[in-house]
Amino acid sequence: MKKLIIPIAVVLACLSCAPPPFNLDLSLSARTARALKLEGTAGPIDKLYSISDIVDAVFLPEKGTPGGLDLTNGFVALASSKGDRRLVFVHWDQAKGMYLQAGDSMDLGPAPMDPYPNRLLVTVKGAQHLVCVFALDSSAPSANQIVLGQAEPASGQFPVGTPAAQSLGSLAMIPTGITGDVIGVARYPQNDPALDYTYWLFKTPSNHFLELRAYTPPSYANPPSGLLTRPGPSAYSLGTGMPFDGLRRGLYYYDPEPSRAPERSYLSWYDQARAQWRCWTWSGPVPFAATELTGVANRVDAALTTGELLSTEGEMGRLYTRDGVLRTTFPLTGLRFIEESYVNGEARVLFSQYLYFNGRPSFNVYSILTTDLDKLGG
Amino acid sequence: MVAKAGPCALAAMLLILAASAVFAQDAGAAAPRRVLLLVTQSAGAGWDNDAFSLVSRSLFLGVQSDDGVRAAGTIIVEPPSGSVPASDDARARAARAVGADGWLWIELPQAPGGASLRVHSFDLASGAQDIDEAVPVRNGLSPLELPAADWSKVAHLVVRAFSPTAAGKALAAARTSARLSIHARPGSVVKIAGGTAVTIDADGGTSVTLDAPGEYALRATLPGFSPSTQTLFLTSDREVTFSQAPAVRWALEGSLSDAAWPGVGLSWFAVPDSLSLGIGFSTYLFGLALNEQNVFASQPLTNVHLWYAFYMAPADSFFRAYSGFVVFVRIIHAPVYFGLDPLSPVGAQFVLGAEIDRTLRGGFFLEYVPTVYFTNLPTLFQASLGTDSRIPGWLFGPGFAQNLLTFRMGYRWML
Repeated sequence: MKKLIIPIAVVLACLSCAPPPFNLDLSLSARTARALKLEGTAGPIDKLYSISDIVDAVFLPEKGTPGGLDLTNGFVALASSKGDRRLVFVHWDQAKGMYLQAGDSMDLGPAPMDPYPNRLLVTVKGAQHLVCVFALDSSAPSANQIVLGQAEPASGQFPVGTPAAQSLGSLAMIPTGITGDVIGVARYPQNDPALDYTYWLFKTPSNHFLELRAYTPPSYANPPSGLLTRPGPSAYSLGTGMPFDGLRRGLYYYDPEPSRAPERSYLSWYDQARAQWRCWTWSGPVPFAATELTGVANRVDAALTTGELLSTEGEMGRLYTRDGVLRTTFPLTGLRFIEESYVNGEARVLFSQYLYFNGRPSFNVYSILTTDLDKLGG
Repeated sequence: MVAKAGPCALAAMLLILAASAVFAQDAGAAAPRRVLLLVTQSAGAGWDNDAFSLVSRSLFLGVQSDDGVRAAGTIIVEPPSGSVPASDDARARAARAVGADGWLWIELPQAPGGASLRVHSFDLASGAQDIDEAVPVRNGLSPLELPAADWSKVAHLVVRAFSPTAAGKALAAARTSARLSIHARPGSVVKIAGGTAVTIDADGGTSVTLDAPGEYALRATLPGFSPSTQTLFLTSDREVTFSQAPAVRWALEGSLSDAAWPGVGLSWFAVPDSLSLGIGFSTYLFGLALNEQNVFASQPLTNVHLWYAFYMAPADSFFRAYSGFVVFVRIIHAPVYFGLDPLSPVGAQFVLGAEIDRTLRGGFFLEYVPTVYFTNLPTLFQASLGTDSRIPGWLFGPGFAQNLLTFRMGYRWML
């Protein structure tokens, strides 16, 4: 018996050989995630396109339900290690007890060569399984496009038919008599279950600008129109000698909230010479004189309904006042900003977290009241 | 009726007679004696190993093959190891361990050229020490002379001391009682295996009368002191003294969790030998991965443990079971972050373990430690286990993740 004790112990111990229940990135992400509300988990997903070399993935829930957040259907933006980027549609399958990918994938094109995200993905309110892709490319702004992707989970199709493409450079989409390109598009959430607006910044070859608003998705029937606070149709200067003259791409945001009038516009721009992000803001009336928010030295990803600016650059969340003062920072390791959206009538900021376990991918979707975002910094 | 009863009675009578004959034969038959042969050399003797082995072997073969020994049906048994117990009691235990009922102890002379052997014997059946005498050796015991060695005198002594009939007579004649005086710390309870328990008086002694000859195992216990046991062969009045060491209050342990991750701990026995409180840590900073990709693994995580353990068996048990409860905190020590693990800062373990064959200095232990990790993000915790496979033993629920298949083993040193 004595001789057996040690071998038995070793065998038992080896039976329990397992990796440690620990992953540094996931633990670090929990610093922020535990302060968020876990809206749910979209997963497990049976299989995803090119799953073996995914380096980044974001789940975009639909907004079709009355509450404005539907985790049973959504789009997944994937980035592979080879620079390939795809968009797929996944939906909950009750019979199989897991999420399934419907149909094929949409090509989102190669990763951008500059620091700008060159795709804005917006799931469309008031329509089922519809996504609107704004494709903006600094190398050829005249080729910027809107692409619509529709899925049909019942028949397992995505995209249904040929993706509808409309050129943002089309004169039909902007006021007549003006030439130039759309260089920035942003969505601002509406507390309306069927309506979302996007705001566009249009730039002429002579460095004049025009700001437009459009329904999501825009169409020839409902083309972008000028903002009431930015009377057109003539394009206007943002000031003389601006460093972003010749700009071909920027991250543009517009804060339409009347209570904060005069309404502000923001341009987040990457200064190659300084190798850092810079941010300008302007407000009415004409003539405008854009001023730099020197405190905002990171990419701006959203102008929030609180009037604050949110940056999620470099796995770090940064919340700035509308005047560019840094209010707080919080770690975002592994958490991807989806968008700000109204959920059950409350403006919330949504985050997606890609997980892979038990051989299948999943996404945790978190939210936090936009008004509580400043508490994440502890 | 009579006619019928006759054959039956005859058959029954024959059966009884046959059975009686068998029993009579059994009662009169002498079971073969088994004698343990022990050979030693005197302290400082000049025997080298080879010569000593040759003489020992020659003695064994010579006595075993002696006609007189064979005729008496005596079987000579060699010890399983080369060491020879130092005391009569120990030699008696060694003899019983090999199924012998007596021992024959031969001390070789100072040198191979010596003139005599010293022969001792003890008959466990009778409790008699029959032989204690010198046996002359002709021509010495040098290896060259061994082929001509004559062990008949030794064999004769064996026949005389261990003859079957002598044993039976001696046993019957010698059956009596003896007084055992026991000395131990005052208040100690001394339990005699298969018998009663006695309490040591304030003077540190007591006595008990026991059947003799007989082998007895005694165990003295006293709160605050380690149990002490002694085994003795009682043939006549004698004394026994227990040395009782104070029970240990501190223990240091080194361990390996899940056969991979090292740990260190320090225990303090709040109740000696019963209840221990401890603090320690186990780290994932370095460990054994033992998979196809890596031999070693490292994660910037260390668990700091606090525990109590309750022992369910005495300190001298071969298999000393205990159970306990552990709470631990998970501390990340990465360059980018130092502090409690935000994902699961706290966990707990139930412990069911055993110290195995522990001595006063320490012993090996093995623990089954089902572990629960508290987390409000169980899916995140599940993902932290790895990507590919379902790991057996894990359960996940609201607010927790549980590993039911985890073990810890190590060594615990008594300080």
